[in-house]
Amino acid sequence: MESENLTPYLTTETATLLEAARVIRGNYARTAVVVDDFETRKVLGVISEGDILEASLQGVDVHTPITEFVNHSFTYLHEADETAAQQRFAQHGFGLIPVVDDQMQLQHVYTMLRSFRKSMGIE
Amino acid sequence: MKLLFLNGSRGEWGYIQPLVDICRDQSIDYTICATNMVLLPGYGSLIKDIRAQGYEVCDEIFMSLEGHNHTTMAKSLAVFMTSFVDTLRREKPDWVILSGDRGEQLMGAIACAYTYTPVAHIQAGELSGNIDGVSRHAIGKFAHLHFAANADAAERLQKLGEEDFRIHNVGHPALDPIAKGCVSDPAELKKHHGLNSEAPYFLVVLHPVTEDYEQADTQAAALMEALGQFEQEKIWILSNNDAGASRVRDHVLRHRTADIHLFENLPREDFLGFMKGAQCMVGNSSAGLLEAPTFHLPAINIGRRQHRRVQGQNVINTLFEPAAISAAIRQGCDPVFHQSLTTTTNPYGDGHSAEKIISVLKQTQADDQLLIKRLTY
Repeated sequence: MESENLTPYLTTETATLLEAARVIRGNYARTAVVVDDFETRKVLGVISEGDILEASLQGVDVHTPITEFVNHSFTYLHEADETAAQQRFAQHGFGLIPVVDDQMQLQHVYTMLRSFRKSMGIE
Repeated sequence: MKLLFLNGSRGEWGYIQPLVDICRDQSIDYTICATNMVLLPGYGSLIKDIRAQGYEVCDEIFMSLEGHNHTTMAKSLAVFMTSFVDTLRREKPDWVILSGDRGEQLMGAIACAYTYTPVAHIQAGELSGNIDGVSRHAIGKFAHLHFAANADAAERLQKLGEEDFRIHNVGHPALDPIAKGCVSDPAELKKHHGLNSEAPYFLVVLHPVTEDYEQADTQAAALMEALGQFEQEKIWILSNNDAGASRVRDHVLRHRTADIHLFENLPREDFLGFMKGAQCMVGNSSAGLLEAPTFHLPAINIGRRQHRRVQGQNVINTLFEPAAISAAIRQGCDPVFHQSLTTTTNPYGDGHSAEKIISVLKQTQADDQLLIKRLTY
């Protein structure tokens, strides 16, 4: 597993819907990983563009904190396993799957886009 | 006959769904007034599932003020009642069906009583802990019909001054889907949610105890410390939104380990499926007492939330202390204890409750005898 910069995938639970949307727009994974802070990177959940869209459709202001909209029931892997990630992308259509350690600290991120590119021999 | 069901939580939906399914089958006019956690994204937005399954919903009443303390809890209930009276006026139901013991159900009972709307109460007459137990009996004072889930509850209603013709021992409708086999396959659930397919797991549900809300995070810590001593994966269903809920949620989220699979909300059949496949259930949910006996599932019941409620032999009571919880879990995992449960029965009925309730409602006239209550003592 190559060393990578995970920052483009991260947001914190104090972020607003607008700030989370900006993270998602920049990472091409349709999802952001919500961590307690950028240093310890303990994963609290994920928020997807669908979650933000739904909040917007309900008339929620974009400056509202994401707290209520974070998905804590997200899929994650406990160890890096690209095949397992690909299977879950195929089964569920996730944009992103975090890999965490025993304490839920973020170790790696698999994205559907990168997985697709690999399968096409582009990356 | 038009029935209006009041639904504020996923637990109540477990009571209500078997009844509305019969209404659909028998073309009985019904509707659902959804409120509280059923509407909130942070608690799984159950309303989306209800609507997706085509159930009739007449109203969505947002009521929950932020804060999760005693003040916001009481004020939220008042917000609900002011809106619900308008729902009654508009919908004009022949019966309002209330479930269980939560505050919004009590508000519903008061609104119905003062508008002389016939109201029936499911899971009436039981003893249970904290403010909910008090609320249940307050609902009983306003309700015109009482659907008790066992003889103990029916007898208590009688002793509390309710007239005999109002009391019906019908069992617990949340058992009906189990009797009908509406239970997801545990192996499929494990596969779908990425659990180890072979290994045993625990089902964990921890709600705040409202009178102990300042200790809610300490109680969550005690449970997490105890669970940390076991290698089993944990399916953890996040709590309701009573006072102390944010403390429980915050603690669980910040101290969660990778063997804890969190869920804000699960389809009822999946919750029952996880129950069916679990090695034991841990926490303070009423499901440990009500549904778990049908699956012969050991339930570690912590603290006083279910204090003095009728319980089967599957329940192991313990305190909010890590060592005590661990010891209770070890007992619950013991194959000998599991074996001892195989011949036990559920004290909350046989899973044919909803049809009995609908039958009673059909046969009961909403006349002066029903609507003007006379306490026998």
